[in-house]
Amino acid sequence: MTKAVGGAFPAPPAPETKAHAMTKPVLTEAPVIRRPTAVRPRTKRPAEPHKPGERSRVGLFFVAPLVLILLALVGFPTVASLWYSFTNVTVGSPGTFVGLANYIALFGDQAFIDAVSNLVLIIGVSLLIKFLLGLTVASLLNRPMRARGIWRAIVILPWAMPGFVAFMGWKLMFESRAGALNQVLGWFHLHVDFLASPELARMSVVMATVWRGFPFWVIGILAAMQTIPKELYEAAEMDGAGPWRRFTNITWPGIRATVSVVAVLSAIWTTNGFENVWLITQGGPSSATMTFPVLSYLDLTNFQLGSASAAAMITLPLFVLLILWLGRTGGKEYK
Amino acid sequence: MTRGYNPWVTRVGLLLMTILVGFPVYFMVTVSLKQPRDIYREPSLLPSNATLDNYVQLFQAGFMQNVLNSFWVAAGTTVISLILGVLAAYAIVRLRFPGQAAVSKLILMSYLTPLILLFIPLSVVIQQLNLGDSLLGIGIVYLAFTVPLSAWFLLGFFRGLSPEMEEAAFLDGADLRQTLQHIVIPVSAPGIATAAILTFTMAWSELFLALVFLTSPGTQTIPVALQNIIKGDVQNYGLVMAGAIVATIPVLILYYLTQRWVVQGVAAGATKG
Amino acid sequence: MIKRRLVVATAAAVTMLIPLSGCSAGGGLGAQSPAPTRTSSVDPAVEKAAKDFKGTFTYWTGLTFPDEGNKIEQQQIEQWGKDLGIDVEVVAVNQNDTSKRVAAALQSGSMPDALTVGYDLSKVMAAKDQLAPLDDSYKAIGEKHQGWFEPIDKATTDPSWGGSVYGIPLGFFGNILFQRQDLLKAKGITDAPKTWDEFADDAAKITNAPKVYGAGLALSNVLDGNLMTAVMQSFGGRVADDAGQKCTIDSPETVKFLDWVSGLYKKGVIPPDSVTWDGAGDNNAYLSGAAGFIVNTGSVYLSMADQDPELEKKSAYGTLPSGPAMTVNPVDIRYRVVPSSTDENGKILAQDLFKVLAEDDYNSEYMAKATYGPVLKSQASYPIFTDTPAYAALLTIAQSGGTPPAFPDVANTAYSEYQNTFSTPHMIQRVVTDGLSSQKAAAEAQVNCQKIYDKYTK
Repeated sequence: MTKAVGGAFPAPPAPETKAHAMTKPVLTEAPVIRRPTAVRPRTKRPAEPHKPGERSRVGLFFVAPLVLILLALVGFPTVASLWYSFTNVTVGSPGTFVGLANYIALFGDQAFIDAVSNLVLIIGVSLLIKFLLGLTVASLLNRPMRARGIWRAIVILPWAMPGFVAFMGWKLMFESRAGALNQVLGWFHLHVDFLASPELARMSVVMATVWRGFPFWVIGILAAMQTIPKELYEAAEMDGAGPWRRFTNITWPGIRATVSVVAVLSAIWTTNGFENVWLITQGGPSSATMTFPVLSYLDLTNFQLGSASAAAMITLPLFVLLILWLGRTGGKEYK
Repeated sequence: MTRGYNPWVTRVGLLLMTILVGFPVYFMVTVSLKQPRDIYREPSLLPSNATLDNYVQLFQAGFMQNVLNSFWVAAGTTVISLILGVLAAYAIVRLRFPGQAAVSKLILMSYLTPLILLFIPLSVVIQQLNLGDSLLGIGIVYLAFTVPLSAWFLLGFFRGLSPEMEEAAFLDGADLRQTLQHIVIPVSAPGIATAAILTFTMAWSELFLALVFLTSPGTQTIPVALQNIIKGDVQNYGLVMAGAIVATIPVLILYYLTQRWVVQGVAAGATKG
Repeated sequence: MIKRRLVVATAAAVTMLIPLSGCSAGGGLGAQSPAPTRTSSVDPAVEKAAKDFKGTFTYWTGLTFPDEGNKIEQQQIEQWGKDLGIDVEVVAVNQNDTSKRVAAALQSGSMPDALTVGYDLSKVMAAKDQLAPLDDSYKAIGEKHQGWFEPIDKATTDPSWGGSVYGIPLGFFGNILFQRQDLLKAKGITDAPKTWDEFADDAAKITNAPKVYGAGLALSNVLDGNLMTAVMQSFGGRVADDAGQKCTIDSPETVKFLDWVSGLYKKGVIPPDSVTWDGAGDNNAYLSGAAGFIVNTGSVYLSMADQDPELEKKSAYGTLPSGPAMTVNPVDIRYRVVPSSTDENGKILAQDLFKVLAEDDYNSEYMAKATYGPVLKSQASYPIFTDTPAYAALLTIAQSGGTPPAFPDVANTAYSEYQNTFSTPHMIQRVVTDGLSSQKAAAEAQVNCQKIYDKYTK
């Protein structure tokens, strides 16, 4: 392995360079990629130190705490929420089963249409920019430089601070008079009311969301880039491949799997994000920045647990599809 | 080493990156150095009338207790998530048992329910356990998010590890515990470091659930304490930003210390089959 | 734990100082520390309840601005517990998060023995039989303190509660009209606007965008934005009919109101970003000198007095202007309530606590350090309400001009949901942001409103 980390740090012992041996990927498990190395890891059977029966018991014993925790802390609440969404339950009083009524009411709501279109206009655009920015910054930080550790610590700043403070800070940045952006614009005798029009408000929410979330992408992509052997680039350069060819033939295949994992996690976190919208625009102006978590929250303030659950659960099938798709592409990649 | 890289591209790139990331942070720092009056009446990009009053006030109000609370919750959550994550990921990758595929699906699916809703059923669980308003209680709640996260990263990571060393250890007569302790865990340190930093940051800065589950001043974590600075419609930005800056520093140090592990860990966890 | 003791110690130290600083009534009694919490003897029934009470008595207070107020209240409650020999836990809940906390506590069965909640939340809780009736205490406290102010009493005993009183008012958030006197005088305006039309004229005159906007009115999806419902009502618009069942928003009066407010917005008298202001939007605008008028409760005044006395001197304070139809100036009452889950002894204790917390000695200290308007007539003589202009405006609202929440509409849960989903500001945003005509926006709001009301009338 080439020295991945320079600057302030001594090179790590890098024990994982020997990594190979893959088991067959299961649909929803962490995806795999074809490393662009010529050396193909051979498939190995896992170690078999125990008798099958014992192994099975040990396996169950190992996953049991995790399964119990997930069932109690995630399974129960998810099933409960799903059940609530089919009832007219309100906080403190049991409801009755109402079938799809909450969902039908949701579909009939103008705010629903806005929330759907903002899945694309806010969530989708944020993810796209996070990806592009993450890729660019990761490529930058993958170049040789002095004090690399410091630069990498700088890039993580937005992600290291509590989210609601970051978004409060941005709200203040956008402020008409005391805001930092208008102070800078003031140098050029300009003034922009960032949160007054639907387009600018959406852009502002996207800006803050991207700023807060892109470091996660940088870390992921940067890490993937560092597993790509430098010799590959050298060889490609000798073959006369330009930067674009080098990217599409070497870099992209090397980071693709990471990008899809980071994308799914980031997509879920961004879609379920509440603070970014609530603290900056409360879903306004009009419904320009309305998202499902904000809809859900508004129902909740009225103790309407049933419709709040419906608004929160509506994006669930989307994620299930996304994860299944991720598993598929991961699988295809491997063949 | 610099062959093929124009250092000016690097320099300009770093400058742009620093402006992008640094400008909002710089602005927040200047706000944290101002009195409320100066934030509104004398908006400026330079910290005019700079004062450390906000920081002094913060610590006089007992912010250290909140930092410690956050630290214990984040550290505890991280350790438990790592242990459970290592065991489960190892079992899924190396051992065969009934329901294996279902477990790995369960791990991924656990991200799907929005936090915004989860707090109500979770409060029922915590109340049943009689752990309301305790650091232990919130730590357990956080496991719902941090355990799948660490397991997910480690799952990918273990798949990338060669079983040869483990086999050799088994042949030498080592049992499973020894193999885990002396082979698997040291070899996968980068992956574990990744999971650790992700888990730690999550628990360190979580607000929404902490607001519901932590009530008394003695148990409040950093985000709750900062949120409580905002009373009604009065937002004391200077104090909140000062708190945010203080809250960010430990994570930065932690990241700086572990980052070379992190960078490799993320890669190995995510990219190696 | 250590920290808690520190707080108590500090609070105790503060109380020791209070008698010295010249709190007239009962000052002599405070010579021994700490100050006594009650002027009357303990009822034997309360003493018995205290003896029989098991566990810790938990009270959720509502965090107020500034912090001194919270400390004074906490210390008083803890002292009350000490006097009765019971363990007390005071939990300060940020009022911005109360409903979330209560939702989780109700669902998991972990409600405190007593708590402070806002008007809307107490209404929702009462409608779900989550609150214990407090009729006798309400009456007794009122009699002891020269009676409740009229808008407070009307709101609290309204038939929409279902025939009982469920909360003891501790104060209210009122709408004070903050005015930049210096700017107004420069334009030759000397009197506070009496009507919303005068207000619009004055605000337009002092507007100098983007430096100064005359009318710092929030049109966003926050509580401040709901003031617009009151303005709409003062124009003669109504959310629903007198039965509180059928929405009547789509009316010529509502359209007139929408034309008025959207006209101001389009002329640039209301700041463009007021459609996304958060709860602090108008505070920030006023404190930065960017707004000529704002409507706010006492908090802006307190931060100004503390931070920016110059601005405070340039300001004047009044009550809300009247509309063409009537004056609507809702009082947003904070209640002390007892959840129905509290046991019998706890209920007796809670009501005793409420009596103690209504004592004038304590309240004149507390209310000077909080941002509430007065609820009991005896509070009219507190120095804070007689000597401080902004608080005097709150007193005026309590004495005359203040209206019960929802007035002239019926204050039922459907109305609360209408308000909680920020329906009026949303209707305005449809006009000023999305460019709908006032007629269309009113018609659309009518449909959405009826959907809400139908949920509760079926």
